[in-house]
Amino acid sequence: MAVFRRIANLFRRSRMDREIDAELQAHIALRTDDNLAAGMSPEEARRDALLRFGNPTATKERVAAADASLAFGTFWRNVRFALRQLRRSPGFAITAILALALGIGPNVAIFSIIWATFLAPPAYPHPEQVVVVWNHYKGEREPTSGDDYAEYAAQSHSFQSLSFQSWIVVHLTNPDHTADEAGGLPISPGMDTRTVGRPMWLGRDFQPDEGGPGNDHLVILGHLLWQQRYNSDPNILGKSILIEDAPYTVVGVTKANPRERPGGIEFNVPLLLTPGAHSRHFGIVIGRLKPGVTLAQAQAELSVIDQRLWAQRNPGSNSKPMSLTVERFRNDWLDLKIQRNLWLLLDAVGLVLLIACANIANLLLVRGKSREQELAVRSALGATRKQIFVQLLTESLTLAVVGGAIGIAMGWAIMKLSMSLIPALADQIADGVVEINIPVLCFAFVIALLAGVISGCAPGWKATRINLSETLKQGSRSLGGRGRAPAQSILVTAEIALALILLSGAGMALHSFWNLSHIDVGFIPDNVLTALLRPRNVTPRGGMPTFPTPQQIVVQQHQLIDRIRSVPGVADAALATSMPLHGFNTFPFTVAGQPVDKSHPPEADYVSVSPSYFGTLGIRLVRGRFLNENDILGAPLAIMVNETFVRRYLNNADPLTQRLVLPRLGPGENRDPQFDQYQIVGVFHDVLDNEHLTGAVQPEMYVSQWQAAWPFGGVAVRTVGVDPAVVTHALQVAVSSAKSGTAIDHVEVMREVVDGQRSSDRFEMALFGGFAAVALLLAAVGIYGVMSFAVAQRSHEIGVRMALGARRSEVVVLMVRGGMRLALIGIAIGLAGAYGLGRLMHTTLYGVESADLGSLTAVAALLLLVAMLACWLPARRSAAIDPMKALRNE
Amino acid sequence: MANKDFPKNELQGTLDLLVLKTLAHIGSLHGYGIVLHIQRASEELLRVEEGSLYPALHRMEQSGWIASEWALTETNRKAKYYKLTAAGRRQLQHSEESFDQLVRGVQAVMRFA
Repeated sequence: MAVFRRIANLFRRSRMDREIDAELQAHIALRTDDNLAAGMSPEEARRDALLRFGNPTATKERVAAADASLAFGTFWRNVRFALRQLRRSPGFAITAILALALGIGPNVAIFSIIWATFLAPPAYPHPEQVVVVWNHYKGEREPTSGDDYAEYAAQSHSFQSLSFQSWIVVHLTNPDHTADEAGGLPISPGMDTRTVGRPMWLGRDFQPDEGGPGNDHLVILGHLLWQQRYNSDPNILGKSILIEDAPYTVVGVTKANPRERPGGIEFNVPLLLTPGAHSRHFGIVIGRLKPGVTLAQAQAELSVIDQRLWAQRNPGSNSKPMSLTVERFRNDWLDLKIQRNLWLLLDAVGLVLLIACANIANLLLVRGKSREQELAVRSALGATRKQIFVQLLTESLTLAVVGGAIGIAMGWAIMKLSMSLIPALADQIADGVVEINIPVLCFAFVIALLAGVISGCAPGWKATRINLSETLKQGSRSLGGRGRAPAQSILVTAEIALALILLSGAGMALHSFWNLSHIDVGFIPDNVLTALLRPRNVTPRGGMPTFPTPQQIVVQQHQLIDRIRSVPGVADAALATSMPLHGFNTFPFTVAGQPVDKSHPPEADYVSVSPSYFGTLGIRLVRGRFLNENDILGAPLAIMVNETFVRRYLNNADPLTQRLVLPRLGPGENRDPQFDQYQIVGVFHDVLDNEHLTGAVQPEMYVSQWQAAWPFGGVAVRTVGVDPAVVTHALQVAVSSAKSGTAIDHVEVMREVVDGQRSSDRFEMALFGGFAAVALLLAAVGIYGVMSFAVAQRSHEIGVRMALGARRSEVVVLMVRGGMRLALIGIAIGLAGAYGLGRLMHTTLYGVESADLGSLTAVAALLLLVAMLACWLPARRSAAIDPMKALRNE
Repeated sequence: MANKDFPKNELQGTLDLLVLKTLAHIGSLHGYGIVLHIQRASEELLRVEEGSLYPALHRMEQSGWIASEWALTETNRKAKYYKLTAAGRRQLQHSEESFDQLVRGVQAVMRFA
C-alpha cells in the first residue's frame, strides 16, 4: 500500500537519494548519447543535455519530496497542529478529554483485575501440565484417600510427578506447650519442586525417602510464616521448631507466592505413602502430566485403576459410586460467580467506552461544522481528501492519547477503590498483584487508539465531503435548514440506548443485592463467633486413638462450656458438631411406622448440639420445645427437626407425635449397628446450613449433645459488649485449659461470614452502579450538547417563528419535543438490549428474572427524566432569543 | 463530483494523462523515452519540461498507477523503466474522459457566437 511504501522510503533515504540521482543522471546520459549520435561534440552534447534538463539538484529535491510526502514528517506536523488547535479551544478539549478518560478509566480498572485473576500466567513452568484429581460423589467433590494415592502413584504412567497433600492439619506448638493457630499439612516429597515446579527460597524440598516412620520430623516453612514468625532468619535451616509438641527440623523455606490461596497453611511436613500401608490420611492429589499426555487420557487411566482398586476391596459389588476427574490446577478457588461478574463488568465498561466515543464524535462533528471554512480553504489550496481525513484522524488520536493517559490514572484509582471496597475479592486475588503493569498498559493504549479512531471516523469522513464552492461563498454560516445532522441524531440515540442497557444492569444488580440482604438465615448472626475444635493430632504414624466413654465426653463438654462462659465478654456458649453456613452431614434415618423407599432412603442433615445452642444463635421455635438440660443420658431420646424436614418427610402427621429411628453411632468401630428411637419434641425455623446463602435449605435434625455426645465439632460463642473477634485468644486459652491439647481453628465472626457471602454481589452492584452512573452522565452531556447545537443552528428559524407569533413556551416545547423523540427511540432500542443483558446476567442474580420489569421501568423512567432535563436546559435558551437579532443575522 | 477526478492543478493533470497514455501505448519506457515519445507523437507541439517529469513519475508511482524497475537500455546504460499497473489503466480511462469533457466544453464556449 502506498502509505507503507512511503514510510519505508523514509528509512531508506540515502539509498533513495542515490537511486534518484542515478535515474536523473541516466536521463542526461541518454540525451548526451543521442546528441553524440546526431553529430555534436562530446562537450556540446553534454551541455545541451544539461541545459534541456534544468537544475538536477532542484529536480532531485522535488522527486524526493514526491516520494516522502506522506511520511512521518507529516504525521508530527499534524500532531503539533492538533495540539495547537486544542489549546485554542480549551472548553472543547477539556470536555472531550474528560469524556475519554471516563470511558477509558473503568476499562483499565476492570482489565487489570481480570488480568491478575485469570489471564496472567502463574509462577511455575508449563502450568497446563499441572492437574488435580477429584473424586465426585453426589455432585460434591470428595478428597482422595492416601492409600488410593499410593496406588495411583505406583500404577499410573501418565505423570512426571504425582503428589499428595493431606487434609489432616498439624499445628505449631508454643513454648508453653499450648497448640498454636498456625497449621500445616503433610505432603508427599517433591510436591513443591517437582510437581508444581516452584523452586525453594532456602534449603531443599523433601527427599523421596523422607516422610516414613523415623524420618519424618522435618518441616518446610512457608515464606510468610518464615518472615513473620522467624523474622526472616537466614540461618533457619537446621533449627528445630515444635510441631504437635515434638521437635521438627527445618529443611527449607518456600518462595513467596502472593497467589497462593488463603487458608492458613503455613508449613509442610513430609508424608510417605506406599501401596498397602493402611494410611488414615485423606486429601488432595496434585500431579504434573508427562509432556503429550492429555487430561482425558490421564483421567481414563486413573479411572480404570480406581475401579480396579474398588473391585479388589469390595468384591461382588457394583462399580464404585464415585467418579473420578482430572482437571487443570487453576485459580479454581475463585468463586465462579465472581468470575462471571468480572467478564460482565468488562462488557459493561466496553459499553461505557462506546458511549464516550459517541460523545466525542458528536463533539467533533459540531466542531467540524465550525471549521468548515478552514477546511475548505485547505482543500482549495491543494490538500487531498485523504490528507484532510488523516489530519482530522490525527487530531482525534491526539485527544485519545491525552485522554488515555488521564484514563489510566483514573483506572488506577478506581481499581484501588474497588479492591478496598471488597476485601473478599482482594483475598481471593491476593493484593499486590492487581496493578497497572505492562499488559494493562498495552490494553489501555490499544483501546485509546480504538477510541480515537472510532470517534474520529465519522467527523473525518464528513469533512472530506465538504462542498467546496458552497462553503467558500460569502456565508460563514453552515448549511442552515434542519440544523441537526442525521449523524448526530444517530449517535445520541445510540448513546441513550447504551446508557439504558447499563442502567438496567445496575438496576438488576441492585435488586439482586437487596434480595440477598433480606434472606432469612434463620438465626441471629450478630455478635457470634464460631470456631472449630481441633484436638491435638496424633503424630502421623498411624494407630487409632482411644476414645473416651460417652459419659466422660459429656462431662468434658460441660466443663468446656463452663470454662468458655467464664471468659469476659462472653454471654453464652454452645457446642455443636457443625455450625450454620458451613455445609452439612447427611445421615440416614427412618420415620417410625412409615414404610421405607429403598431406592430413596430418607436422609437429613444431622447435628448434635448442646442445649445452649438455640439461645447462643438465636434460633426460633415453631412448635413444641427446644432441647434442654433435661435431655440427658437415661432420659427419653429427644430430637428436633426443622420445617423443611416436616414438609419433606412428615407431610400429614403432627410432627410432635412422630418418632425417628436412627442408627446408633459413636466414636469407635461399629460392627453391628444398633438403632435408637427418638421422639420429636419440637420444630425449629429453618437455619441455613448450606455454604451459600442462596443454597437450598436441607431437612435437618438436631439431637442433644448430652444424649449423643461427640467430642468433635465446633464451638459458638455469643459476646456482649465487645467485638466477637476480641475474645479469640481468651477462647483459645479457655479451650486449651479445659481440654488439654485442643486448639481452635477457623475462627470466624458469623456476621462477617454472612456479609462475606454477599460480597460478590456487593461488588457487582457497586461497580455496575458506578459505571451506569458514568454512562448516564455521559449520555446526558451528549444530549445536552446536541440540543445546544440544534438551538444555535435553528436560531434563525426560531426567530422567524417568534416573529410570526409563536410564544416562547411554544418554541421551547418544540425544541424539547425534538430531543425527546430521540430519547424515546433510544430507550426503546435500549430496552431490547436490556433484555439481552438480563439473560446474560441471569445466573449471577438472585431472585431476579431476566426481564425484571420493576427495575427496567425504574431505570427507563430515570433516563427519561434526565433526558428531559438535558433537553429542557438548552431549549430554555431558545426562548431567550431576541427575534430581531436572529432575523438580522441573515 | 467535479472535485473527484480532476486534480487541482490542470496542467499537472494533463502531464499525468500524457505519461499514462504513453506507457499504455509503448508498454515499458524510461523517463527520457517518455519525453521523446510525447515530443514526436505531438508532432513537436508539446515539449515536456524535464524538471517536472520526474517528480510526476514518482508521484504517480506512489499513487500506484505505474511501477518501476531498473533495466539496461540498448546502449547498455542502466535506466529506470516504468510501466502501467491495473490501477493506472483505470486512472488513464478516467483522465481521458475528464479531458475530453474539458475540451468539448472549451470548444463549445469558443464556438458560441
